[in-house]
Amino acid sequence: MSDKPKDPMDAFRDLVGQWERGVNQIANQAMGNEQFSRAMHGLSSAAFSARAGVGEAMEKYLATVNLPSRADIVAIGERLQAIESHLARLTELVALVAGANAPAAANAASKPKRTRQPPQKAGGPS
Amino acid sequence: MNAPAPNVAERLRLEVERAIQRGVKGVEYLGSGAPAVGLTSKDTLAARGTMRLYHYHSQTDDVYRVPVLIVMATTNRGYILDLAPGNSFVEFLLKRGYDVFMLDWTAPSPAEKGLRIEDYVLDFIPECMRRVRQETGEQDVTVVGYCFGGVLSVIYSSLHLDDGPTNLVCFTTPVDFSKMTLFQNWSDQRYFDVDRMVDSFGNVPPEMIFASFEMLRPASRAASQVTLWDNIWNDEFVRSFRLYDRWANDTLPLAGEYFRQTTKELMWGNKLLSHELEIGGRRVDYTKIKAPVLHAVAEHDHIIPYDAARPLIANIGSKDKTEVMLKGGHVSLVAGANAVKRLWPKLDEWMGVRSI
Repeated sequence: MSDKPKDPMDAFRDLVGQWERGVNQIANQAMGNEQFSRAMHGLSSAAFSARAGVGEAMEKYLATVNLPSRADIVAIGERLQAIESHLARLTELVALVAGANAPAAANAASKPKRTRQPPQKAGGPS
Repeated sequence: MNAPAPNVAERLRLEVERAIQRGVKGVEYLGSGAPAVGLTSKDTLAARGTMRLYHYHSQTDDVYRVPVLIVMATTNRGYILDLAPGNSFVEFLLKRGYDVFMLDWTAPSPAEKGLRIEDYVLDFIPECMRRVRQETGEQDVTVVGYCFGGVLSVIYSSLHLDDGPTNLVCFTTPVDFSKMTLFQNWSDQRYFDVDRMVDSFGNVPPEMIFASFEMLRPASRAASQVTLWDNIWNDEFVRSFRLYDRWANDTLPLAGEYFRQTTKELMWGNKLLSHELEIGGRRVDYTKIKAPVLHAVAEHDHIIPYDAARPLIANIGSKDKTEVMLKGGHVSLVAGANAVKRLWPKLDEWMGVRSI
């Protein structure tokens, strides 16, 4: 018999654990059948239709009040993305040129030596 | 000698004390901010769109010759591997003398909805490999992929047999998508109109990704809240709970085309397993990978069942290949007390001798 003192909360914790396992198991069984998939995607489909309708109406409204739509903002985002990519490549090129001109010894000095060996007790590749 | 069992009065006093603490700490909990994560010092080597390449600062005088590039899953933030000092896979590797880089992801912008698997394995990962090689002066690189980061790493390695990773490490990486039974049912081709969803949303919202993970264990969130209340007097427990809770809730959206391609090619077609997956006009055949491979899988992984992950080591072409099944779940395999004592030392032992 264990000498560990009994915690009055233990029974409650066991109960919560059992409840969690039980509900997860039942839910997984329920969600694993074809009917669930059909029902879930039926609801999703309705939501997509509603979303598309609201989106179209909103776009018309924004055009009426002379405000940019989501598509306009996305288009700006795409252009910014392209600029960002160009900048990244330019920065890289500048760094390459600067690296080529910098003394190799100065670069090497700031980095740790790549000479580490594994501990002796470790075996070789199997 | 065994300590005498505390009497009822002592027990009662302890429970009353904890009840009071629950009230006080509960109020503190509600009012406190999110815990800081990803604190290990690093430089951002490259940032382009959704891609981020970090280089962590070395913590030892000398490092292994072969650097390590961690490829994070596209659904979640990389800080799960750098949660907090003392609970950080990255910090562990640095202290063991590895030169660590991480390819992490930010939320793809609406303008990046057209990203495909090709962008990840023929552009982002190769660019990061090039930057790692440039930064270290070494051609050899160990790639470590977590979950779908592992899938991308396997595809990348299959397409770069000559200039790919020197060593490949995968954590909980699915190959046989037909064995992901619940995800299979939820993406049933007869009912799931992936085209309509992607065309409607652009990028797949993080709420949908989060909900699909939560639905795998629908009672666990409620149970975890009860456990939190039970332990809220314990500062260490609360700190750890908040770190993981923050990460679990911090799901990323997925680029629309990437999701469409993953659904059609992998979930429906199971083409990674059958070697019919074509990326950039080239067939992906992971059985041709010859680099040493370690695959760590979790015994109780509810997201990637073992049957989905098993064919990787069974079929891969490498002669030097190891599969380790460790106790734990999808997340506790790589982070937390379980990982500290099981996976991390095992990985260090495997990787150290292959990093010289």
